[in-house]
Amino acid sequence: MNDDEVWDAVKQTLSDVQMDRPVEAIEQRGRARRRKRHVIGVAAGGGVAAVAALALVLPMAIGSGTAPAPTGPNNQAGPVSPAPAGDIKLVSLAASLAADNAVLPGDASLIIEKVDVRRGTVPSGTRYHLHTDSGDYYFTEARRQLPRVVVRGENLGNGFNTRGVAAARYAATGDLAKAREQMINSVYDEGKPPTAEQDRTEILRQLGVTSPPPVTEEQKKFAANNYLWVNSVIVLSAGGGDPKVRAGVLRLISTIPDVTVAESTTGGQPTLTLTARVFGNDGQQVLTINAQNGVPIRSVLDYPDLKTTIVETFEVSRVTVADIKAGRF
Amino acid sequence: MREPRVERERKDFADFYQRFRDNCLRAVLAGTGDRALAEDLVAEAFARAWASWPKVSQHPAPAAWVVRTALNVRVSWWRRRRREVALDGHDRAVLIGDEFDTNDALLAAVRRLPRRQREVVVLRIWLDLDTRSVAAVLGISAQTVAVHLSRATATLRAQLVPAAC
Repeated sequence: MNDDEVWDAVKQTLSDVQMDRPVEAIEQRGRARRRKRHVIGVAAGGGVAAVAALALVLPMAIGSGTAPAPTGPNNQAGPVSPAPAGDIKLVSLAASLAADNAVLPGDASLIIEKVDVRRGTVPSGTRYHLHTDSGDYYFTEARRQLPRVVVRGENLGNGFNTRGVAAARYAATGDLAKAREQMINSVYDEGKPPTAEQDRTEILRQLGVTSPPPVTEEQKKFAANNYLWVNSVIVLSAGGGDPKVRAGVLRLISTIPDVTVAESTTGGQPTLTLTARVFGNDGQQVLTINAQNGVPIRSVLDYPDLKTTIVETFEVSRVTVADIKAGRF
Repeated sequence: MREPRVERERKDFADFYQRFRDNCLRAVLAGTGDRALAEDLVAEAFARAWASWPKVSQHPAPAAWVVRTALNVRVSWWRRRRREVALDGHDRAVLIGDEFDTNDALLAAVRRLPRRQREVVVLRIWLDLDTRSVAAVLGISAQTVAVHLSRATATLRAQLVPAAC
C-alpha cells in the first residue's frame, strides 16, 4: 500500500463530516468576536430570539451615550449614589494600588492557571498564559511549550487585551463613567461598537429572527454589567502583574450592583471574595483576590443549567519575554 | 460600478469559508476526537479569520491558519463557551458527549500519533498541503516534515495492512 493510498484511506474516515454553520453566523461572530462571551443565559420564555436580540443590545446602549453614571467617591460626572460596603472595600484597595509608584519589573505577566472542572465535560489541567505589555498573548497547556510558541511568534492576541488593559489603567484614577464605557467597548475592534440599528435588524434577520423583540432599559443595563464584569476579570489576569491595572479593574467592578464583596481568609491570608451574578440563569462567579494587593487567587464559576462548576486558581508573576523564551521560569 | 471594499472582502471570505469549512472541521476533528468541540473551535477560528481577513487572506495557506488557530485555542474555548448561548440556531447550551464514532481504529491511530506527526498528517491529508507548505505553516524544515510524515504514514499503514505472518 503506497503513501497516497494510506492517506486516502485516512481521509475517507471523515468524508461524511460537514460544517453546517452558516457563514452569516461566522461573520457576525467575527465582527465582535468576544461579544458572545457576554451574552447572558436565555431569559425565561425568551428563547433564541431574546438572546440574539440581547447580544446586539450593547452597541445601542453605549453608542447612544447612555452609559450609566458612575458610583463611588471619585466620579467626575452624574449623580453620586451611596456606595454599598463592598464597593468601599474595593475602592479603598484600588486607591492604595493606584498610589503605588514602584517601577514594574519585567515586560510581561505570566499567569499559571490550574483548572478543576467538576461535573462538566471539559478537561481539567494547568494552563500557561503570557500577556506581554505590548498586547501579545501566548497560551499553552504544557509548560515546555511556552518558550516555543513565543519564539515562533504564535501570538493569539487581537487587540482586546491592549484596549482592556488601557481602559483599566485609565480607570485607576480617571473618569469612571468614561472608563466603564472604554472597558465595555474594549471587545470591539478599535473599541467602537460596530453595529447600527439597521445592521442589528439585518443580522437578526439572517439568524432567522424576523421580529426582534425590543430591548428594555433593564436588559441594556444587565448586558452592560455583564460585559463590564467579564472584560474586567479577564484584564485582571491579562494585566494582573501591574498594580495600576488591578486598581482600575477594582474601581470598575465597584460600580456593578450585582457584585457583592465580603472579607475572607484564604490560606491564612486576608482576601476579598467577590460574588458576581451577572450571567442570568442562576449562574455566578466567585472571585477571590488578595485583600492587600488585589492579585487574583481563585475563581469558581457555577453554571447550574450546564451542570458544571469550574474552579481556577492563579499564580501571577511579572517576567521578561526573554526569560520565557530561554525557558527560565 | 465599483464594488465597495467591504462587500468584496465579504464575498472573498464567504467563498473561502464554503470551500474549506468541511475540510477544516475534518482536520480539527481528527486531532481532537470530539465533534462538538471541533465544530466550535473551527467556528471560532473562522470568526477570527474574518475579524482579521485582510491579514489572513494574505497568508500562504489561510485554511491551515484556521486549523492551527482552532487547535491552538482548543482549551481556552471553554472560557468563552460557558458564557455563550448559541445564536446560530444550534442549541449548544449543554456540552454533549462525543456522538462521533470513535471506534474507528484508523482515526484513533491518528489521534494517538505524537503531536507533531499528528499536525503534519492533519495538514497534509485534510488540507492537501504539500511538504513545503506544511513546513511554512509549522515553522519547521521541509526535511523534518518529510520525516514526521513518513513515520506517521508507517504507523497508519500498520492499521490498514495486516502484518505478515
